[in-house]
Amino acid sequence: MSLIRSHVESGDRPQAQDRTLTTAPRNSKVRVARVSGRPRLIQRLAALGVVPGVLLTVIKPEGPAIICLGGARIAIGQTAASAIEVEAADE
Amino acid sequence: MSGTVAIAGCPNSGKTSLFNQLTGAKQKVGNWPGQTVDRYSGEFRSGGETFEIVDLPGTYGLVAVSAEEGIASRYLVDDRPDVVVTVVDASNLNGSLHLVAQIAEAGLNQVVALNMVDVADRRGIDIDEDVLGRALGVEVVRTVARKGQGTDELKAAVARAAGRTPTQLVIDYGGVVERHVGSLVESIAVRPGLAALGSPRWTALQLLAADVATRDRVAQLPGGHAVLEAAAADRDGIAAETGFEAAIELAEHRFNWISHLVADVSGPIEMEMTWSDQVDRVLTNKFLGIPIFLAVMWVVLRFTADATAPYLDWVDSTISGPVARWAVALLSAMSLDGGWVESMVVDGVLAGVGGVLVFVPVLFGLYLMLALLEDTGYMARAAAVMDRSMRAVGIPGKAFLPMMVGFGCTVPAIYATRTLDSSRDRLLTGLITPFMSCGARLPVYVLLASIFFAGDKSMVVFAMYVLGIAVAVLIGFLLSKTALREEDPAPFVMVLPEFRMPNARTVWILVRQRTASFIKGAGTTILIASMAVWLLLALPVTGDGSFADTDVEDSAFGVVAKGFAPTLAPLGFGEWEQSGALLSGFVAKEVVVSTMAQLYAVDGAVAEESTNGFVDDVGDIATSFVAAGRDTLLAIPRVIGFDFLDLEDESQSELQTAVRTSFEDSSGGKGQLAALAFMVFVLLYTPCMAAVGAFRQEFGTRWMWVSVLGQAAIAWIGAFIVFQGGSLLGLG
Ligand SMILES: Nc1nc2c(ncn2[C@@H]2O[C@H](COP(=O)(O)OP(=O)(O)O)[C@@H](O)[C@H]2O)c(=O)[nH]1
Repeated sequence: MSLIRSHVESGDRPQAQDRTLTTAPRNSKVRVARVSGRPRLIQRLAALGVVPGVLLTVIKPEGPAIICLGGARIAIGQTAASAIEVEAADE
Repeated sequence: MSGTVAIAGCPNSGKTSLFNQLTGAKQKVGNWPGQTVDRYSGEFRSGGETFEIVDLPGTYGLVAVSAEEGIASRYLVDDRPDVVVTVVDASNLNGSLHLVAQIAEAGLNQVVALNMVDVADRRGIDIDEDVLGRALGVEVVRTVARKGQGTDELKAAVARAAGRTPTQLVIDYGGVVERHVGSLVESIAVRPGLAALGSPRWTALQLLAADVATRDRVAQLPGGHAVLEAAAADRDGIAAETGFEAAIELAEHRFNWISHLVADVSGPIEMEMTWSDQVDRVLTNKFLGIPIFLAVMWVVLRFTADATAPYLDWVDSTISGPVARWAVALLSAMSLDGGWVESMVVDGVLAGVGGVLVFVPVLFGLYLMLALLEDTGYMARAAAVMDRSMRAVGIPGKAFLPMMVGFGCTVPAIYATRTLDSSRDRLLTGLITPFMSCGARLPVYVLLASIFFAGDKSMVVFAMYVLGIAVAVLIGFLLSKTALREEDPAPFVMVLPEFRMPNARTVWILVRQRTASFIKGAGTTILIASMAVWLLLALPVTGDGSFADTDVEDSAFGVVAKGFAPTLAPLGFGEWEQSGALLSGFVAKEVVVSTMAQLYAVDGAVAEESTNGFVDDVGDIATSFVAAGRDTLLAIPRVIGFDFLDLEDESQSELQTAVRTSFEDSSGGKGQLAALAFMVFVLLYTPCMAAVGAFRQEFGTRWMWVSVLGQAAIAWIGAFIVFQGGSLLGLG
């Protein structure tokens, strides 16, 4: 299986931007726009709930990243963190 | 036996704690078929019936990308347990329900253990388990596995569920996916050979998600290949129509379903920063993370070495003293003393038993420290910190722990590889940890360095440690590029457990299981190797000695040492005493120096003769045990001290002269170079039979030989480069 194509087509999905988790500011709330990468990475993230559309709080963006998702704290290594594209979720 | 129960759950959900609560101490350890993953099973009674319970490996979901991750998925498909208990972390419902939903979709009889409700309460997460149960079609029981709360209710729920016909959960995956699921279900349903798989819808979903366990199972059944082809076409169809890989489409819809469910059962969850987030920022900080980790490891290793040393001496002196005397006394009562039987019992069997038992205090100390680190939640942070720099050279982040442990002793280091995620990662780490210079190799460096490099002793010794790390990293890098190449490496994604006070019961169970596993697993190999060495030493080959009464030089051991001495000549140490010392180093590195003393016929300490009676002996053993306890307490403050190279300087002048002469002779006057090459050889060659026994237990006989022969070859090459390279450069 090759790399996963994950372009966004329909309007009901969040529009992808050029920003990954690694560049998101600390303490910010972001929405996952898309996740790209190898199958294993995507499966692992999906099983923990990191899928397009979900809201998370960035505790630490890199080295490694730590996010808060539904109360749980998830540590994400550099490779995985740069595969997660996010957009600001303003509330 | 009236039913089988499997217990499933994400890593760190409290699955092991719950399993221990359900089964108590009665557990069996085996292996999953074809895997080196431990399979724990046990029994419990409920409602007048006995259930057999199996602990499935921790998993976040049932879609497996590697064979090992497929254990849970495969077991559920093939063995269809009567009831599955799924452990859910109540403080992380979002991340835990993926697995629950999949098991419900598979149409299995499920009971959900809503665990860690104490943590959820503390975080203000209020879960309505009735709503949750109704949505999933299962019974939900609140538990706090750490304290044993809810265990009885859970047992009762399992007994109730055992008789029930399960309902299958159906999640709507949206128009496109459902259309492809529908056509795949049809092509499965028309083939009677696939009926054994259970729910066709579940099989279809797993094939679309590219689960390897389901794929392998389907491929074996009649008509399976046609179904696999249809599934591949449907996967392509979904990707073409939605723009997303089928696995993502499925995960995304399932997760949407879950987040709606979570909102229904627990209301909105506040995402407040807490003090532990601040701590995490520091512990995993880009600059501070690694120094903090090294400091923690330093304390762990010092504790392991200093606090257990007195017990180590105690075990050693008890076995070589009173126990050996009793054995001799017993033999003489049977008129078997003085001959080869006595020699075999004392030098073969007891030496072997001692060789196993001296490791027990060290392992116990180490396992205790590691269990504490694990249970407080620090270990997860350490893995997160180390992952990046280690991955850069192809070594998994969690390998750092076994490698550090390897500085103390290779045996526990091999067992510490169990903390890694995949069998590939474990094997890679197991193959490189022996290059980390263990404590037993130090006396060899110190002896040779003080003879040949008096001024730069510490530098030379330090260089050996650095060289060990460099070789480990290099070999790890080469392996990850060749034999253990990974197309799709496991990404680092991990739920961080809460910080908490370690729990005595959890820690004790971990320590006990791991220590017992060493005694049972590696014990036999060590005993056999010890007997083999004794036999070599006892067999007279030349000279006029008799069995078990012969000079070392004339024994089979001496002949073997002489036999392979020439292969070491290019390395500058081709004398039989030198090869003999290396040969004995295979038994335990500690004895390389003492063997040298013995072979160069330097008078060592003569075994103490004691006229103690049995009662005195028992008294001595008890007092010395108490003394060992006191020494341990005294050692703890020193743990943070830095007396690393502070070794006793016994007067070794006679040995030193003999060794110097021997190395000068064997190397044609380049004694320094030969000594350096010898140290490099000792650093790199097969650690000792205990480590080999541990390695065989963990990775099997075939890999054991790869490891043993590979290390011997690498050691030879390393020493060759040092000696011949040095000679070419005109050093020495
Ligand atoms: N606070 C709390 N901690 C728990 C509970 N159950 C387990 N733990 C702790 O969570 C950690 C992980 O548990 P363990 O059983 O090893 O999880 P596993 O990885 O799923 O097998 C251990 O430190 C347990 O003591 C619980 O109900 N409440």
